[in-house]
Amino acid sequence: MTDAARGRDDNRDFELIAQWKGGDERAATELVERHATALARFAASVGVQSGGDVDELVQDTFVRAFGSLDGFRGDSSFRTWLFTIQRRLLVDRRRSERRRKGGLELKDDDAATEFDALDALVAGETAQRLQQMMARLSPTQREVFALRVGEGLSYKEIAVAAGTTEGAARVHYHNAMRVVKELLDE
Amino acid sequence: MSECQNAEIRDRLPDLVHDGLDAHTRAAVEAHVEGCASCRAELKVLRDVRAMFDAGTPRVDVARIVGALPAPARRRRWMDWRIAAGIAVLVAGGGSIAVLNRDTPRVLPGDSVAVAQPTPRENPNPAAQPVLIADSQRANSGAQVAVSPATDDAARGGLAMTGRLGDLSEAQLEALLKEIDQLEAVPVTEPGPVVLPVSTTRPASSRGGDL
Repeated sequence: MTDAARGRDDNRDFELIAQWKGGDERAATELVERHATALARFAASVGVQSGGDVDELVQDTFVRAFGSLDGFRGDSSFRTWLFTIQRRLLVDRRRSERRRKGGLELKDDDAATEFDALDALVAGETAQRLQQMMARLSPTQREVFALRVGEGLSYKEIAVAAGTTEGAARVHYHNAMRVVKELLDE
Repeated sequence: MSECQNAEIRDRLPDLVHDGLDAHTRAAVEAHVEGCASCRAELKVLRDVRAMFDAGTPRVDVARIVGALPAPARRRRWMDWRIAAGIAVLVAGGGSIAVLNRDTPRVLPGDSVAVAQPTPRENPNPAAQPVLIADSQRANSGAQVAVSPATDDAARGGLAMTGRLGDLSEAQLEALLKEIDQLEAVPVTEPGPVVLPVSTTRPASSRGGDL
């Protein structure tokens, strides 16, 4: 999607947000339809298990976003903002899991959940290949790679969503790309 | 195969996959890719990986998500207002009913006054029979009428509930209505004996315009 097309897309989001704030609840349906698939894809690509976990995470992301839409100033696109919220939820979940298991605290960088080896065994061939590939990446590389390749976000948008800098996002992407190519060459 | 050293072009490859380049940049990137085996290979990897991401995308239930969303703030405010209005109506209505139920007609104009009393079935106590107070019992000026406190049942029943209005003649009813019209507010009734000033003839000062 070109910058111009993306701008039009963002404007439509802002229109819908304004309509929703004005009391039009149908606008929420369109906003969810426009972004739910991308959020689900990102969640699955960074290792959240398909099914209930992804559903729940995507729903929580939207609930959190709509609950604080008054605080959304539009500095970033609505989509980037949603990814930011989803990533924070992932961090929180991962921390909770670690605490429950008595493990070490996660850093903010380590947002993504780890891939479940058993899940990879039962997955289809394509999904299995993807999971093997993503499992070789660090959590941050996974996030950056998924946002860049899966969602087409710019480095600037990735920096916002992943809480890093554009330069760091670029480095993470290229390192991830190198690992992926090595795996595919094997 | 050695990596292409054109970092700027390689940075743009994901945008090419997502059709995110303007026409000019797109033409430049495609021209480079055509002559660069490394970038062609990388572009293929990106397209394959993107296809894998797409293939692994779980379906989401949009309706369920929308159903879980909070209402818009404006609608919340409207709902809050409606709830507040509903509560206000209930409080006002409930208060009015409570006042009406407590407020037996302590003072009535006319020759005699019927004070709400329980029916014998409700309260067989003979001391609680209807009390008639004649005008002659009132003081000469600004007559005061002492009314025995009604029993609790009677107080709750109120004038309308006891049906004692039927004991009044038409003239008495008319006088009663006129007197009610002249009242500025419903007096507060207390459970103990109530003494209220009642004038059968209105003082000159209250006639207005005669001074």
